[in-house]
Amino acid sequence: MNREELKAKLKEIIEPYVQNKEALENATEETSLLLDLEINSAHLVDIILDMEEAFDIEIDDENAERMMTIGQALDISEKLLEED
Amino acid sequence: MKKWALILGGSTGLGLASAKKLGKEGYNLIILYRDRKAGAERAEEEFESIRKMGVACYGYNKDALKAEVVNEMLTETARLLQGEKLGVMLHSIAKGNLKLMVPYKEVSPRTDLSAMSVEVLKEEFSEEQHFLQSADFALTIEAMGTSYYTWAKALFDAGLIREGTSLLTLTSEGGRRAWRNYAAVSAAKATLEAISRNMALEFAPYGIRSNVIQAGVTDTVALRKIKGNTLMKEQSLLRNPFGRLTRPEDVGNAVYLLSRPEAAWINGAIIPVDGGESIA
Amino acid sequence: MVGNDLVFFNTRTQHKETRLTRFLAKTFTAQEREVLKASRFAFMQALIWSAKEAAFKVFMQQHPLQERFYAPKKFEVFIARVERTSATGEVHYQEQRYAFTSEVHADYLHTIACPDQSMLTEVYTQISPRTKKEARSMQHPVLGKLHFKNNTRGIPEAFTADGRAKASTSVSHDGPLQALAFLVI
Repeated sequence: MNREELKAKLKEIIEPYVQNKEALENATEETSLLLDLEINSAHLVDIILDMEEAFDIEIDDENAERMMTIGQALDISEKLLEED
Repeated sequence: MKKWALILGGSTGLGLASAKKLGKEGYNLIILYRDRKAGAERAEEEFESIRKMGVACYGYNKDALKAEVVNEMLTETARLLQGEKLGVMLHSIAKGNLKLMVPYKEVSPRTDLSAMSVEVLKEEFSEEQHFLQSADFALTIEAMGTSYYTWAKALFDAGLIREGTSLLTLTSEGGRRAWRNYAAVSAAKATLEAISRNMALEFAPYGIRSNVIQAGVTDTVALRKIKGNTLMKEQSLLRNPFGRLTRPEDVGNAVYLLSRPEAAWINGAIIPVDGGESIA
Repeated sequence: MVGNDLVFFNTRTQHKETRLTRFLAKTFTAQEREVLKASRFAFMQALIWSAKEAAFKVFMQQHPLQERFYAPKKFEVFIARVERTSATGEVHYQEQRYAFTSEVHADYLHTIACPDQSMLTEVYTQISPRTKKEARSMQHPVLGKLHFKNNTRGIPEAFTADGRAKASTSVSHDGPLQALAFLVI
């Protein structure tokens, strides 16, 4: 999967948890999951779990800690997919 | 007449909190501690803030368990005190071996509250490779038990502790209960408590008293070295009548209390400073 | 400083056992999972989670230059007291310690956290139906009407008619409710 495909898939994954749907449509790499998309932090773990299932990767605590923006989520996914 | 206190182990935790309280109440301080560079820098910053309270505070990064250091410090203390006596000596040394005796083995989980330990213990202890040897006991008992006497005796012989001095040390419930990986420290605490009692008996004719403060489980650097400490904290918190853990300041306050002349008739005691945790 | 977190029951979809296990492995420490397992209260998971959140919000206010991060396991919750309608305890993060207290109601629970237990009684809270961000307001017994706005770091600030209030504010919403916690500092 290239980055654009990853991004599309990621947006699909986070969509159910996003309060601000408009911000999601216009989301860039800098878009913050908690602040811009207004995702309840309780759902961050849900998103991580969904990503693990969808991409067949394992996101450990250290990586999870840094997933604050769309760009960071994509970086981490790419890195873990390469390791396969 | 100036007030002086000697603290063995005063750069962090209970020792430091006691230093701060004593300093606030007008005690000049001589503090021994053992730390690596970063810790030593932090300690110096703390001592500086104590000096701002208007008292002298001398810090020494030296190994309190070495005979040469004891001698050096006797000379240094005599020099600083200029004929005065030490009002307080607080022994707050935490050095020893935290290891299991035998490999950790699970017992079938029960469903009562004490079964709470199963997963935590497994996570903390199942990988343990090193176990307690006799030498570990010797080292720990010497560092955390006998050293209390070593220092008190040396100070006595040098005339630095006299009528009115309050000798204090610290113990925990682990001195009378069994906690995993704490066996050597527990043995040291038992030794410490016995030594304090005998000192209380034999030093009394000289007007010197000795007591042991039994602090409740306190979240300090030293506590976090003990595996399974999160479990200890949780279990303590559940028992605590005030619903909070002991803080270093709570112990500092008690140290000051026991330094006061009104506490002169408390001798040879083990005094819980834990909000009532040990009785609940 | 005060932090709060509201959990409205029934907003969470029921997940499969394996999903829940994975969720707990990522968010709760071993000690917390044990407390959860041993607890007879259905709200225990929500309680522990809300204590982490509330303490985290205090931490972010204490460290204005800290970039936001997400490390629920590092904020370890220790329960002191729990009963049908309330709970108290502490949260530890590295050397920082926080005290929390929670109220448990039929539909929701609300937790507030402060750096010290004694500050908890000074916190003023208000739970109300969720409104649009701009309209968030509270009637404070002494300061009068307060309006809340998020600053650029996403942390709410309180304003009186005269300007910014010297206070710590925390906001949380879940389901149809929002909770405001306010502490004059």
